[in-house]
Amino acid sequence: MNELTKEQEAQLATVRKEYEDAFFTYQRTKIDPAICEKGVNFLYEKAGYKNPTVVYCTSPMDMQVKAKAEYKKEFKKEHDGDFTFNHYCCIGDHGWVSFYDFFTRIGETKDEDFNKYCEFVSSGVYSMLQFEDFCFVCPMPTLISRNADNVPHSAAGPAMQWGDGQGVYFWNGVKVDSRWIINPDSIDKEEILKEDNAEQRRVIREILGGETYYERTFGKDGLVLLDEDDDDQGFPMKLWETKEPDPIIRRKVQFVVVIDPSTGRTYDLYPPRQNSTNVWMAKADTFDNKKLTFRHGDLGLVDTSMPDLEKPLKET
Amino acid sequence: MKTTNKTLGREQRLDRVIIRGEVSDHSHIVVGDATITRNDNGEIEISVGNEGATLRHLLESLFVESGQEVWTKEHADIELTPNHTYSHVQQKEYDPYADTIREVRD
Repeated sequence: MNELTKEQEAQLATVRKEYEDAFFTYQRTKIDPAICEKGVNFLYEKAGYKNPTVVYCTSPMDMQVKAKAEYKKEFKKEHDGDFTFNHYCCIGDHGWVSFYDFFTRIGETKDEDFNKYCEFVSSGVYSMLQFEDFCFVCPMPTLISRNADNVPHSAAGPAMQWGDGQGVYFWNGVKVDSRWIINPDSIDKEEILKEDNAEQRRVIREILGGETYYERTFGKDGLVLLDEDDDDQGFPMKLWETKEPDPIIRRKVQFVVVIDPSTGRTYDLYPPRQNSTNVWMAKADTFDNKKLTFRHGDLGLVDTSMPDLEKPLKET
Repeated sequence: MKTTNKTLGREQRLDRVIIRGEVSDHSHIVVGDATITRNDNGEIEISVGNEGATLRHLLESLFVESGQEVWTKEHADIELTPNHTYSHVQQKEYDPYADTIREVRD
């Protein structure tokens, strides 16, 4: 074939949505044991092993607990650390499986083994730990929270959670200690300074907010207030600069604290040029010093017929 | 003929999504009589027609899939003037730890 027909293109979208919905709309949060065991036995047979005992777990954490218990029973000692989750026969396969599933459905691919695996994928298995005699499986999560970039993120709790309440915590795609999300007040100076990974530091700063982060890092006098004023809606704005260079990047950091008029939420903005002397300069710097006609949150519009406005006509 | 969301196809409605917000499914969307132009540098221009257009903060999936306008309750509407053209400027900030400039998503 050289190209897809209109009908096939439409089916492409249907198949994609089917796979996405199965995960993101929680259609497979319970494993179908008959389909699962048929698929597991097929995989073990292909690998030359006898059929294992399939152990149904409630979450990836529960898989570790149950697998370690079996290990201890067999080897009479504790397993050192966690077992490594497989990168195959898990949710990670849904991408390539959906691709070939589409070509199977339009009659371009015919492979019986693939069809069997495709059926197994529909059983609702999220992850597996495979051993010679045992195969531990767990179902899909019952909660998935993402940000606009579609990476796992939640400021309020776990970004992914399973039916047994176990979850994993992410901040804009970065896996973090659950305590940082549940109890950010527990993050102290010692923990911040001990963290030498810049990405983790950035996450702490975003979770705590600039003022709290730098005050905890450098003490009450760690920030210098360069300027403050009210914005055009009457909300206070403050321009801060660290008194000392940040130990990781070895330079002082400037940020302006503003309030979103529509939500009342406080935001820290770090002006790109880092050389502002007042709050207005700092705010304008974040819009590349363009003369905005309208500001709609983080989106600015410039009316090309009136490019020299002193202030935006409307900000929301 | 007056332009309504229902008269636009799904792809045309998707084209009206200017920027996605921090929260999944929250987006800045232009509704009404407008033409959106994007160049290779990612720059966006909004040309408003005779009937005028509005910049709204909506739930993207409902708008794109069915044309429904469900306000996120963040950022009040902004009426865009008929027959005016607007260029889009995305807010940006410095990320000290990555030492890069990145787009702000609210």
